[in-house]
Amino acid sequence: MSRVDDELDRYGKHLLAPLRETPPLDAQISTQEKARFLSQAEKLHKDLTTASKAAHTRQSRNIFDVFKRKQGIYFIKAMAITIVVLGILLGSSFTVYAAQSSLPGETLYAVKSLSEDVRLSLTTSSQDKLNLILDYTNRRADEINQLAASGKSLPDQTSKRYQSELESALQLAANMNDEQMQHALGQIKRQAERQGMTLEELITGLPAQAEPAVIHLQQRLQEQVSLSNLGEKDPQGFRLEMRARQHRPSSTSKITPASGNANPTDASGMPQPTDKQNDNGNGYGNQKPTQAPGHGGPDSGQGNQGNGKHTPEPTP
Amino acid sequence: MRNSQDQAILDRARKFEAEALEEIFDTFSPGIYRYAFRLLGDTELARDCMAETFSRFLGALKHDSGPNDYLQAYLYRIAHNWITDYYRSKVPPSLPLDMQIRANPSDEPDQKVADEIENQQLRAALTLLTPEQRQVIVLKYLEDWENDAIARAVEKPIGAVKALQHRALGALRRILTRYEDFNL
Repeated sequence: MSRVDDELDRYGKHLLAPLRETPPLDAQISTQEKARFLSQAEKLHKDLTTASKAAHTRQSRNIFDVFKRKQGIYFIKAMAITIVVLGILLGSSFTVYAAQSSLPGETLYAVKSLSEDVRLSLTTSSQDKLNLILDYTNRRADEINQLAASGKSLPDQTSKRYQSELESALQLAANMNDEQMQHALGQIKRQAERQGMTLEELITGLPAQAEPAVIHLQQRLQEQVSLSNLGEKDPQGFRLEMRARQHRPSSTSKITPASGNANPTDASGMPQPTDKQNDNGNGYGNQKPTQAPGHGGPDSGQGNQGNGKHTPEPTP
Repeated sequence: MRNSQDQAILDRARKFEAEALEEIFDTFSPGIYRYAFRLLGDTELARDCMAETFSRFLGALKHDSGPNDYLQAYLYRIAHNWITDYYRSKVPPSLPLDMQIRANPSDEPDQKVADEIENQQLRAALTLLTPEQRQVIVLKYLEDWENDAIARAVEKPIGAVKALQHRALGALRRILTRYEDFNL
């Protein structure tokens, strides 16, 4: 304590000294007050215990009443739902199985598409989703082959779905970490190259009027390879590009293939670009990937594109 | 009572254990009564203040509030608030006790009466301080509390408590200079 504090302390005690003397608390008064205090405490405790029990009883009764009132309804509902679900599962599993080999334009193709969407929506891991989507793109390529072999034209719906799946694969890769993304882009590129070669062979045997729709898909596959190359060299630039594509109205970016956000088509069923920036006037304006900001190097986002002819690169 | 002890006994008090509550009453009631009497100068009022302090404490326990530690500071805070409310409910003394003191002091030369007059002057002067000023100097110079305990009771830092004490003594001194016969 400092000298000033000490002096202050002494002065304060001196000033208030007249009040220092107090009569002691009378023992009888103290006993009376204590008894009153303890009695009040006992009463409060009793009230609290009673209130707590009452609340508990009320809660139990409420639960029981609700259960009694609702159990009949719940039971009936549960039974009905069980029967319906069982019926759907038993009946539909055969239908879904049969639909897997259907082709676009056939009755069961809608079931096939739906089952693919459901399976995709139930998949949580990004890598599993990617594997599934890549498998679906293989299916689309097979369907196109089979349609061409049977002399049927390529439905616009199939083209849209195919492009949407290609876009979804890239978007999934863009949302992975660097290491996962590199692996995913390798998968995407290999698939796109293989499918591009398949379509290349297909084009040679197609009638002239059927060529443009398949050529467009082939160019889209080239774009897929170019974007994968970009991602492998410059992950951040690739992510920026994919983000930009996601916000472009012409981009087919949704993961769910049935979301129907593919490029619009003209009356002939030919997919048409909507992104004026990418429109080079040949009717396929989506063939060149947009350069990400700050990535204008000669290798960035450049693939074998632009002439409508695909030169396959060796698969690594 | 130290803080850890306070916590232990408060845990029991929250369960309304009679023994714990009795111990709390026995430990703190004499001090609360003394504190109240010093400020109120009346045994009945001091008793009321003490009873109400413990009653409010029980009310806090009922609502699962009240202190988790430093029970003494908490109880004195209740008592202080009760006294402050009492002062506010009374007409503030503009020139307190002059009438009583000057009534005829020379007719009562007895030392006891003179002391009582001085006590009343001092209590009246204390009522003119702010509640916080009153609280810090009474706890410090009459109840002999350390500043850290006072800081907990008034819920202020120790530095602020010291400043309050300094201002309170200055104000009290200025008020008491009005009384010629008060021993400053």
